[in-house]
Amino acid sequence: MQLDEHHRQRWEAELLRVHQHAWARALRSASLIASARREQPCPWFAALELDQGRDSWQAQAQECVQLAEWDGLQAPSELQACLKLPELAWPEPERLVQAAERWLPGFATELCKQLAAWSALGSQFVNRIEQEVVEGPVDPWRSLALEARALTLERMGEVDRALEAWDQAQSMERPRVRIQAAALAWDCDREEHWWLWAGRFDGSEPEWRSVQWLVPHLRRRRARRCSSQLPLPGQRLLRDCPPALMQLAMALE
Amino acid sequence: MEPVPELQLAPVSTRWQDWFRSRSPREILSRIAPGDPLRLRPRIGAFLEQRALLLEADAMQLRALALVARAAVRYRGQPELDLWLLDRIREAAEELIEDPQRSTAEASAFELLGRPLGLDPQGLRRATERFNRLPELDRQAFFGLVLRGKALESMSKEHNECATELARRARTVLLLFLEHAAGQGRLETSHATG
Repeated sequence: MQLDEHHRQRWEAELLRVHQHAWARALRSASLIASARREQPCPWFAALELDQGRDSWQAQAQECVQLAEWDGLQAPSELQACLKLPELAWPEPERLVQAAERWLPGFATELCKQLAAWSALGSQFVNRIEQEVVEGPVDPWRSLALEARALTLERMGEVDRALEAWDQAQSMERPRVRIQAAALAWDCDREEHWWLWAGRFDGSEPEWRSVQWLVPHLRRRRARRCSSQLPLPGQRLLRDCPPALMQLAMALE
Repeated sequence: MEPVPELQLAPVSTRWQDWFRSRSPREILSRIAPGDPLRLRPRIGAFLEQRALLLEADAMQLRALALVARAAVRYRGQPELDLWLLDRIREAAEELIEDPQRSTAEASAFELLGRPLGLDPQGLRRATERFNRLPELDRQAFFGLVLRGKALESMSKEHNECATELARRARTVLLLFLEHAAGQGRLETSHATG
C-alpha cells in the first residue's frame, strides 16, 4: 500500500513538472510575440513565430490554463493575462521570460539571448555572446550562444560573419540552427552555403519536420522578393534536390 | 543482450477510450500508470534501441506517462494509438535529452552501471548526455559495434556506410566515454587510495 502511495506521488510530481514545462513553453511563445510586437521589423524567425504561431499560441495557452484548472492547479497569472488580449496591454517580454524561468530554470537564458539578439541591443550583446562561445563549458547553452551570435550578426547585416557563425553553430547538430542557416543562405543567394545546410536534410523524421517548417517561410520570402523586384535566388538552388527537399522545391515552384 | 519484448498491442488499441475518458490529466494518469496497461515500457525499450539512445528507462517511462496523460485529453483516435504513443515517447526522449538534469529516476542507472566497472557515475552521466546529442549515425555505430558487438561488415551493409567510417565514428564515441567516465573514475580512485 505504501509502495502504491509512493508511486502515485512520483507520477503526480512528474505530471506537475510536465504541466509546468508546458506553461514555460507557452510563456516563451508569448514573450516572442510580445517582443516582436515591440521590435518591428523583427527578423524572419520571429516573424515566423508570429505567422504560424498566433492562433496556435492562443490555443496552447488556453489549453494550459484549462488543463491546469481541471487538475486543480493554477496556471501562471502572466499566461492568463495574455489570454485576455486584446483588451489588456501585453506584459513586457522580460516579465514573461522571468515567469518562464520560474518553471524551467535555465530555459530563460535561451530567451534572453534570442530577445537580445533581435532587439536594438543586439550589437552590444554580441560581445557578451562571443565571450560565452569561448568560455561556455556546457551544452546545450554553448550551442545557443553560437546560435544567438549568428542571429545577431545576421541582424547587423554582416552576412559573411553570420554565415560563418551559422557554420560553427550548425556543427551542434540542432535542426533549428540548420534551418535558420539555410534560410539566410537562400535569402542572400549563397549557393554554396545553401547546399551545405539545406542539402544535409536527410529525410529522417525530425529533419523532415524541419523542412516542412521552412517551406511557408521561404514561400513568403519569395513572394516579397517578387513584389520588391529583387533578384530571385533562382531555381538552380533547388535542382537535384535530396528527396527531403522535393516538397520545398514544389512549394516554391 | 536481452531481447526487446514483443508488443501485444491489440487490447491496448481497443481500450484507450476507457482510460482516456476524463478531462483531468491527473485522473487519466491514475488509470494508465499502475500496471502499465499502454505497455509503454516495452515501447520505450524498442524506441531507445532503434534510435541508439542511452536514457534511463525509468525516467523515460515516468515522463512519457505524464505526457500521455496530459495529451490524452485531446486525443480522438487519430493518428493510430501506436503512432500517437510513439510521438509521446519521442517527446519524452527529446525533453530528457534537452534537459537531462530534470530526470527524476530514483535508482540511477549510472550508479548501478558505473560503480562496479570502476567508472565515475557522474562522468558517465555527462558522457551519455553528450552521446545522446551526437548525430544518429555516430550513436548507431557505437551501439552496434561497441555495445552490441555486431560485425563491422554487417553494420556497414545495414547503414550503407563505409566500414572504415563507421569504425572511426564508433572510436570517437568510445573516446568520449573514456575521457569522461574512465578518466575521472581513475582520478577518483587515485584520490580515494592516495
